[in-house]
Amino acid sequence: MHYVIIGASAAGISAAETLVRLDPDAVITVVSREKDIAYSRCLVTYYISGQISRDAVFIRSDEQLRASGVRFIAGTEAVGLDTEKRHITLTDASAISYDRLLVASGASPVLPDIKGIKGLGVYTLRTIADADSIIAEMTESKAVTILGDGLVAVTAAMALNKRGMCVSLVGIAPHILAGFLDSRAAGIIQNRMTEAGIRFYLGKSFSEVNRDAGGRLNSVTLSDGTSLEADMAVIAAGVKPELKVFGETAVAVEKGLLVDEFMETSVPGIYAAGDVAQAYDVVRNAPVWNPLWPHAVEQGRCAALNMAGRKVRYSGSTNMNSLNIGGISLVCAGIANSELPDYESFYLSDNNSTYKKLVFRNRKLAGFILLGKTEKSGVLTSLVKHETISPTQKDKLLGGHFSYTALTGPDH
Amino acid sequence: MKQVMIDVSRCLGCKSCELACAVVHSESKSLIGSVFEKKKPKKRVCVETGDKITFPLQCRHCEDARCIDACMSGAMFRDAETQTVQVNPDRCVGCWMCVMVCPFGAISQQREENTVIKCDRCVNEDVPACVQACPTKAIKFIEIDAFSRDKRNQYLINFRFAEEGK
Ligand SMILES: Cc1cc2nc3c(=O)[nH]c(=O)nc-3n(C[C@H](O)[C@H](O)[C@H](O)COP(=O)(O)OP(=O)(O)OC[C@H]3O[C@@H](n4cnc5c(N)ncnc54)[C@H](O)[C@@H]3O)c2cc1C
Repeated sequence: MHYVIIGASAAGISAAETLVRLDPDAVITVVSREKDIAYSRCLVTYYISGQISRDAVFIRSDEQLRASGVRFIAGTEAVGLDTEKRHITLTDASAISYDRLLVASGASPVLPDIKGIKGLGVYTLRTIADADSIIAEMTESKAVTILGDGLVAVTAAMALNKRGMCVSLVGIAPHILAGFLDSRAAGIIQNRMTEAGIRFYLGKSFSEVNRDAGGRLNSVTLSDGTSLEADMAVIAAGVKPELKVFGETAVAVEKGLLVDEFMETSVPGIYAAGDVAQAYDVVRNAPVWNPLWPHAVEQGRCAALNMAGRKVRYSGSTNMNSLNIGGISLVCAGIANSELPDYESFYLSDNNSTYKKLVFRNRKLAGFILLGKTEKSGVLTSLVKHETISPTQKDKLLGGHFSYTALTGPDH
Repeated sequence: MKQVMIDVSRCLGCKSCELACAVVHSESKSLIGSVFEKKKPKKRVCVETGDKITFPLQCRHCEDARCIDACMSGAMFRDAETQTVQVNPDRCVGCWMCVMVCPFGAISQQREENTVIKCDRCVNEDVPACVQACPTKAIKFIEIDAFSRDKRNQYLINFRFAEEGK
């Protein structure tokens, strides 16, 4: 049996390791466009901030990778796919045939169509190589403007601020992290970031990136005409699934590659996992694109189990995030950022250091935000994954009892 | 494999386990000594209160450990020899992803250090400290395969969350 995996990150490594365990005699080939493999993308801002070293970004050592017996082809892109002949082609035109293929190609940053955006001084932040370039260029007290209001933009802002750069964050949404936070929780974090010296320009975008005669970045113009001096710009305006390998091949795609409950795409024998995939979401009860590290690892393992012939259903994902920004911890899961009909929000505490919000829909815990005090949040995340909760559990939750013991027991 | 099992009906909520846990994780490994240590020793078991029950809760060392899947820094891992779930504090960056997904709420945040701690099942001791300390034998360290399913269920708090962390 020959398994081929595209991508050597969260989903790809998890799948490869699972296949090694299940099918020790199989041949496993992993192709990676990046030269650096088996590292954690989530750590690149920690590397930029100086909290950890470059080495600490890697989650597997070279020895571990070698000992796994998996053949890694790094620094090479899969550029073509022939589903009839069952092979992929690489940049050097060589072909690799497969019995089962896992597409774990993740996502790539979106570069919005803005005048002057391409050129010196403008960076995206997705890879360790991107972080290397930013580190090489960053200079204390110089100005950096970040475009984006999501997690990558916010963590990059904090990292560059810690390095002494003058950071401005420009985002289209009315508040940061609007993908999962309400304005109240986001406001508390924004305040902390403002205290640290970060300036916000929200509800705006870049309209032009301005350069001097030598092509060097000197300022950006915002959609409302404001001009911000900038020595560096980081574009963190979202990511999109990396689907290039499919080219003209017909495959079911919505926001990501659609997969069934066994992580198989609409093309038999081709599976998908991680940021490239759109799998079942337990809260929304529909396929939803939730590009998150834990899901990538879990989906990679689940796909591998099915590729190896074990029929294992994917238990489903949900939107969930944890942050530790300027000493403020925050955990949230499910749907907690909008006031939808049929959803009831309860605010258990709301001051400048703690904020606790629970959201219910009928007999279900639909989501929550815990800011400040995040202990035992996993018990709530686990409840969010349940179809229903009992009235006793709801009472307990509303009473602020989040412990496993309080929420379980014979009478629940 | 031996596992820590709880017989809820026997737990009086005396917290002897909490104390013993903190002491065994102190520098001096003695109660008197630990009182004078610069860094106050921390417990990794927590006696929780529910409806008419108290329950000494610690990491269950799940087979499909969500904390390992969620750990994005490579700090949380399964120890090959003991099959327990362990955390390497040197790799932990304090992102709280494990705290977000642990269905038992058994992982504690150490805010000052930006790391987490949890039960390490006292892998260097013959018997975990909480087990030794429990005066009513509510906490047991037993060979799990030797038990029938029924018997095993008696020891788990296997109510509504029974499907978690088998
Ligand atoms: C700065 C930052 C911070 C983040 N923080 C968090 C966080 O706190 N929590 C969280 O849950 N998530 C976070 N994420 C998201 C998380 O990193 C992703 O969800 C996760 O990496 C997805 O893993 P993956 O394996 O699906 O894909 P990826 O990590 O995107 O890896 C895919 C790999 O496939 C390669 N590839 C793509 N196409 C091809 C091809 N055709 N041929 C060969 N190779 C190819 C890519 O180069 C890449 O190396 C963060 C991301 C970033 C960038």
